Amino acid sequence: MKILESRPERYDIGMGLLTLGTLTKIKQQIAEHTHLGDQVLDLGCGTGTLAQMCIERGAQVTGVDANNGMLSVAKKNSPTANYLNISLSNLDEHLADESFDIVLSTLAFSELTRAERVHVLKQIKRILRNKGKVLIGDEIIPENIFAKCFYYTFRLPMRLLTWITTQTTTNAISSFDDDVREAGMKIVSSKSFMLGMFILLEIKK
Amino acid sequence: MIGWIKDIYQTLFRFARFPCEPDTVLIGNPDKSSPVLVTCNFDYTVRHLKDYLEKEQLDCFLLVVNTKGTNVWCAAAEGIFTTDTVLSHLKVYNVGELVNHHQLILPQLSVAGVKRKELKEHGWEGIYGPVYFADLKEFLNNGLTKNKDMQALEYGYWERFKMGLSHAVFCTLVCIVPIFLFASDYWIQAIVLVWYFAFCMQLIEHFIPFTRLLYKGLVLSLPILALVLTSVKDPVLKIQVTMGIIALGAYIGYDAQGHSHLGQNQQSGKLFTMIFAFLALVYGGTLLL
Repeated sequence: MKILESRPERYDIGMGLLTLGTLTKIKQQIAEHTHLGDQVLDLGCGTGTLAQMCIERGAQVTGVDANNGMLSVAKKNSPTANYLNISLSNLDEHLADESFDIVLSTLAFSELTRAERVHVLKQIKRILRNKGKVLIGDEIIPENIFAKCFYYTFRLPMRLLTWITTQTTTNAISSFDDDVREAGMKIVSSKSFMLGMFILLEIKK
Repeated sequence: MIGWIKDIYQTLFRFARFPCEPDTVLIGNPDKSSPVLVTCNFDYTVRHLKDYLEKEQLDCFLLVVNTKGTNVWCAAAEGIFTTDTVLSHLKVYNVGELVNHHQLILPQLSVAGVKRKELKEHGWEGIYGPVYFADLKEFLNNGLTKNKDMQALEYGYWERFKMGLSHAVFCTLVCIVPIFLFASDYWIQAIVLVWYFAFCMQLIEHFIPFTRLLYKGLVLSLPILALVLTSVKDPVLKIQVTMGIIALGAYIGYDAQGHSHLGQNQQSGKLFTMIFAFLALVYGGTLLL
């Protein structure tokens, strides 16, 4: 259907709607971890909004996204970042060992299957410098039963609305713990947003 | 869920995506020399393809690649099913360790996205299989060669009918609010009209002598206009009904562009906006009468 064709330029509006502004808050908090001269890798960079926040703080950013349309928008939003148009699972061919201080990702892991998530986390471990950190902001299914009920009630109409706007949506992950452990890394801090529907993880080697 | 119930709702709502879990599926008892088939994680295709392979007792590996539930043809044209997607799957699921050959049998309709040359650079040989999986057994038994019939894509009336159903459901969902806002007294007639346009845009559009689907939609509104204008007496209502019919024809014709990769490049967006702006002006004028 013509009106359902993907419109990357509408992505930020749709995701803002779906997350009721939480995504922007998460991105701001992630960007605060970056500093002048940091080599930053933004996985699933989408429209480049987070990349631009990091660049404004003096970081050098490489954005990775499989969606060419998204990258076209990203190049307008954040023209000084470097971009790679590849799947997250193909990082091994393009990025050298221990080449980044910080690896970021927002709402990218929830688009992957568990096998893909573990594979990508192993690649992140390889390309991350020893004292580097990984910051992942994503959607998870809340553990609390009441929050879970609210989650399913609230999310259905919001997902429909977001899908109509952007033709994309997110698929909440039940837990990151096993994936991170299997990749040989550890979660050092975890912060919840929107009744536990979104999470910001800080992961280290 | 029972397969045929899934078939019905996945046909009616085929404009939505129906993903299944990406995986490397073992069909029968494959060994290291068994063929490796590739498909997308569109649930409808995967279910039917698995059934076929099991029924024909073809021992093989089936790579269900993550295209977020989009079918092979659309995913390849939209850049979701690409060489990169296939290479990702090969790595994540360690496919290279399952077989002693590096041959992949790709759906022929993936040709727009999955490039043999790029696969070769990564040590894999891509072979485009038949258009329809019903020919897979013959293709495999004939040493991976295709005859002309296996390469031909048919868009017959059954396929057109199924597309018409989906298009009608989708257009009804889109038009239902405007219909109740602007034509609540005639909502049944309006919905019948939506289904008329949606089905005709699939079933008989190839007989209408225009390339742009938007124009075809407008042509389809002519017989309805003739019918309505001869039966409606009130002049204001006559103008409003005319506007409504043209609007539906233009919208459904324009929307049908999204059904075909050939139609997607018709660049009718501006024309569509102009038609709607004109119709809105005229309709607004009738409210002042």
